[in-house]
Parts: sequence; C-alpha cells; structure tokens
Amino acid sequence: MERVRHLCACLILFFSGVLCCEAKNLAVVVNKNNATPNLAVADLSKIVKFENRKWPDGRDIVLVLLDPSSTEMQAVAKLFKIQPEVFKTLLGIHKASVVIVHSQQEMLRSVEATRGAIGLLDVYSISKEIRVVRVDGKLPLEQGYFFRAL
Amino acid sequence: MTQARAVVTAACSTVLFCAHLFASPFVSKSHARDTQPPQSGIEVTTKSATARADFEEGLSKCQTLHLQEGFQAWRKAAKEDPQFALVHILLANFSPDPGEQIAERGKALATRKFAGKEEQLVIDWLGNSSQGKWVPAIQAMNETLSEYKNHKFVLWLAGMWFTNQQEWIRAIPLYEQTIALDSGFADGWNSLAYCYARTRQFDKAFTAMQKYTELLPNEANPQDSFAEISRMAGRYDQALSHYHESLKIDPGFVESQLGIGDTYALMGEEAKARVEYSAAVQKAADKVQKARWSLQSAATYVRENNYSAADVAFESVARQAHESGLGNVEAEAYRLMSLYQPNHAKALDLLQKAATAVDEERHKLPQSLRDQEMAAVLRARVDRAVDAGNMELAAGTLKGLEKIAATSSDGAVHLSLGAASGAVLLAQGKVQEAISQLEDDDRNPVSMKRLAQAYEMAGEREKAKQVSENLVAFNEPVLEQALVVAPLRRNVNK
Repeated sequence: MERVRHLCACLILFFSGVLCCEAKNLAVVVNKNNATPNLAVADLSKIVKFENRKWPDGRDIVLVLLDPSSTEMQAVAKLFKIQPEVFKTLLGIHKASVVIVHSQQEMLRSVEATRGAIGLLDVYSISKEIRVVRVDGKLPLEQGYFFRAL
Repeated sequence: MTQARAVVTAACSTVLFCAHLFASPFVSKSHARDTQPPQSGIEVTTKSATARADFEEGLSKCQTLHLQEGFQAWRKAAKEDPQFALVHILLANFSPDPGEQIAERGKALATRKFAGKEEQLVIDWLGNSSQGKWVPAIQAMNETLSEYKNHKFVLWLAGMWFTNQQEWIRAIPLYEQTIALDSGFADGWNSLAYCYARTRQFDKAFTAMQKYTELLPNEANPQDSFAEISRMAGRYDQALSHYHESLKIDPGFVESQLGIGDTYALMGEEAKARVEYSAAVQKAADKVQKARWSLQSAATYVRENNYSAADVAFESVARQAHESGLGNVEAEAYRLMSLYQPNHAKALDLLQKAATAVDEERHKLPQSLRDQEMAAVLRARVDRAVDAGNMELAAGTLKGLEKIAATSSDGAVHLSLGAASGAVLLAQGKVQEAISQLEDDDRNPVSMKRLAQAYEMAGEREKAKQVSENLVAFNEPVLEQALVVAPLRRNVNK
C-alpha cells in the first residue's frame, strides 16, 4: 500500500499543475524591488522581442533566459511566434540586455541580484527572494495560465 | 523538558510571547537552540512532554502505515497541547475527514505563532498549498528545504507533496536524500519504490521494495506494496504471492485481500476476483470502504461484458450508498454505470441520476467532495457527448464544469476540467491545445487514448507510440482500464 494514496484518498491533490512539459511550469519572475504585479501577454511579448526595453520606472529591462537552444526556450519562442533563428539573432543584437544562464539556480541568483531583471523560472524553484508576476491576471499552476498552452 | 518548548523561534517577539504563557523553566531553556537534527527529523515545539511523545508515536505509526493509530496519537497530542501547531497542520493535511482537515488548518494557522521557525515554514507551505495558493506554498517549501536540508522529516514531507501532485520525477531525489540520511527509514524506501514504478523504472522499484521488506520483515505492508508494484509491472503471479504473504503476516490487513481481488480482476479471472472482493467487503472498516470495494466487485461484470449483471451490481451499491447518506459514492456508482452503456440516452440518464445524488440536500456532503464528484460527472458527460458527436451538449456541459472550477482550487476538479477540455478541443481539431490539456491526465486511460490520437494527428509519432505503450501496460484496477486497455490488449495479441 502506498502511503500517499492512502492518506489522501479523500482529497486527491491531482491539482492543475500536473504537467509533463517543463515549459508549462514557467513562472515570470522579477527582482524583489520591482513592484510590477501583472503583465499582459502583449507586454510580455514586447519584452521578449525587445520591443519594450524599459520598466515603467525607467529602469532598463534585463532579460534572464536559459540557453536559447534548450527545449524550454524553443517552446517559449514558439509561443511568442518568434522563429528560433530570429530569436537567436535578437539575443545577439541585444546582448547587453540579456543574461544567459545554465540552470534554474543560476537564474534565481541572477534575478535576485539584478534590479531590472525579468526571467522565466521553473515554478518549483521559486524563492521568497524574487517576485512572481501574474500574466494576464493568472499565476503559474492556475487554470488558464498563459504558459500552460505550451 | 516538561514545561519547555524545546525549540523556539529565532524571533524574539515570539520568544517573549511564549515566555509569558509558560512557566519559568521555559524561559530559562528557551534560548538553548538545538542545532542537531532531532530524532523525528524536524524541530518540534510543544510545552508538553506527553504531547511530544504522542506526536512522535503518531509519526512513527503513520510512517509504518498504521494510519488510524497514528491519527489518534496526533489527536491526543493536539488535545494535550492545543497550541501544538505542527500537529494541527499534519492532521489538516493527512486526516481523511474533510471537516477535520478544515478545522485543523484553522487551528494550525491560529497557533502558528507558538511554533519554531521550521514549523512555521511547514505551516506556511502546507497551509497555503491546501488552499490552492501555490506560489507562497512553493516559496515556503523551498525555504524549508534550503534551511533544513538535513532534516529527514522535511525531505520526506516534500517528497510526499510532490507525489501527491504526480510529480514523481521531482519526488525521487527527495526520497533518495531521505534514505541517504537514514538508510533504515523504511517509509522512504516504500515511497521511492512507488515513484520508480510510476516512472516505469521497475528494476529500481523492486530493489527499493526489497530493502523495504527487509527493514520491516514482520509487517504486512511491505509485502502488500511489493505485490502492488508487481501488479503494476504486469507480474500478476508474483503479486498474488506477495499479497498472500502479507495476509499470512497479518490476516487483518484487509487491503491485501482487496489487492488479490484487483489482481484477479486484471488477470481476467472475474469469478475469483468477486470471491476476494466479497471477503474484503466483509472485513471493511467502515461503510465507505464497503461501498467502494463493492464498486470494484461490480466492475468485474463489465470485464466479462455482462452488462446486465453489472447494472444490477452497480444499482445495488448506489442504493446502499443512498441509504447510508454517501451521496458521492451513489453518484460514482451511476457515473461508472454510464461509462459502459452502449445506449447513449441511457448513459445520459445515469449521469443525471449521478448529478442528482451529489446535489441531494440530505447527503450533507462537504463542498470539496461535492465539487470533485460533480466535476467527474460533468467530465463523463462531456466524454459521452463528444463520442456521440453532440458538440452542443459537450460545450454546454464544459461551461458548467468551468463554473465549478472557477470557485475551487481542488486538483481533482481541475483535472476533470482539463480532461474534458482536451476531449472537446481534440474533437474541434485544435490538436496542440488538446495535447496541452490531455497531458495532465496521464493516469486515465480515456485521456491517454485521446492523447495518443492527438500526437498522431500532430505528427508526433514517437510520443504517440510511447503513450500507446504506456496505455497497453496500464495495470490499475479501474473501470476505464477494463473499457479502454483490455480491448487494446486483445488487438495487440491478435
């Protein structure tokens, strides 16, 4: 007998975040000092495409991303309708505004340390040292959250 | 230690507050911080030595799956020290009684201030999680794991938390760390074995299970677990042998009796399955167990394609459940009946009866159970409507399901919604969106079948093949297995 199944037979917590694809679990995270509570998908798209490079307080936006060839980033590019090659070119052009990291821990540290940072972090890696931003009013693992479409 | 809260929070305000509440020995000891991981694997704050002992006993009982005794010990601890926040949050999370869950969560939040820092983090984590507040829950969990990485209990709890959410891959390293800290921690091996099995790493699962049985040679549960994992791997004879071994150790371990029934059912030996189910029902601890196990027995007739006998058996369970005030079980009986009906109109009638049973005032069901079963009923109606090509009914029913989900953070409700949405999207040809929804429902053969179809339509052949293989190897004793997997196996064998 499996303990968890037995213990939770009445409240089976098969919650909406039971996901196979890691990209579905991405949280949009910003530095703790950034007061932005919510981003519309259109605004997020502009940030990812470098069409918007400033926060409302005038601070430069720094995009913290996993390696663009990673599965997650390819899925993100697809979601924002950016061709992979175009995405790589954009990252090259704007390299002063981009930090490429190689792990979730590295991303967490980078967003913690950079005031204008915005990153896409695995929701199960979030800490209290960063802020999670709603996307179109939804948080990760909520029904209808934007990245669940991945 | 009698009057002292042995471990105190670093927050001075809490220390001072507690100091006012308890006798002077507490004050003198309150600053003595024990930096060693405690025996139970978590810092435990209580003013009562008796409550502490009860807590430890309850934990030990729960970790060896003597759950009722474990809960009783925790309830005693909570009674002995009503400000024992940790025990309240554990009862809130593990009690099978939804009313107790809510009441204990309230008590845990109210007494949080009396707890140490580690316990407060656990309360933040589990308290938020139980209310669907995932972001603060995960933040608190990660802080707990970061600060108390050598505390066995915390790692075990996190492993369980991920297991609850079917995140087996994330649970595995946590259980591995737990047993790295204490290789004699039997429950760690048991949980790890199940995670390996769920990810179809059966060699590792059997190795972990072997260790579990060696650690508790005189307990029935290791044999029961060994049997279940053998069944999941399709090793039915081995499963039966371990179930019998379990019953030899403890003839009262009725779950093994049920397991024998389930195994025979999957083997296609339905008459034998019914005999075993009947024996299990005789020994069931309560009316809910009796009713649910009777549903298992009724399903054996479906496996024999004897639908009229199945109707009689399910009707009988529905009637008994109705008389016992178990509206959700009554609804489940009608819902399951609807699944195998060749006649579409009759299936819809049964689903209407199921919905009526959930709504019936006299059943006084807790809201969470009402929502879960109603969502399952609506999901079944969407499936039916989609299969019959009645997209108008499917869309209308889906709206009702969305309405329930909008006011519920319950995972089971959202899983039903995702599966139903996936079915509708696939029928509408919105393949990628359908895949996104159906991937979540990876332990339901109906959704797995649709997912394989969606992958095929999307040209993702490898994924389609993998899901189809998982489906053919699916060995959970649920009705959907009988309806979807058994015919697939017959085709494969042909």
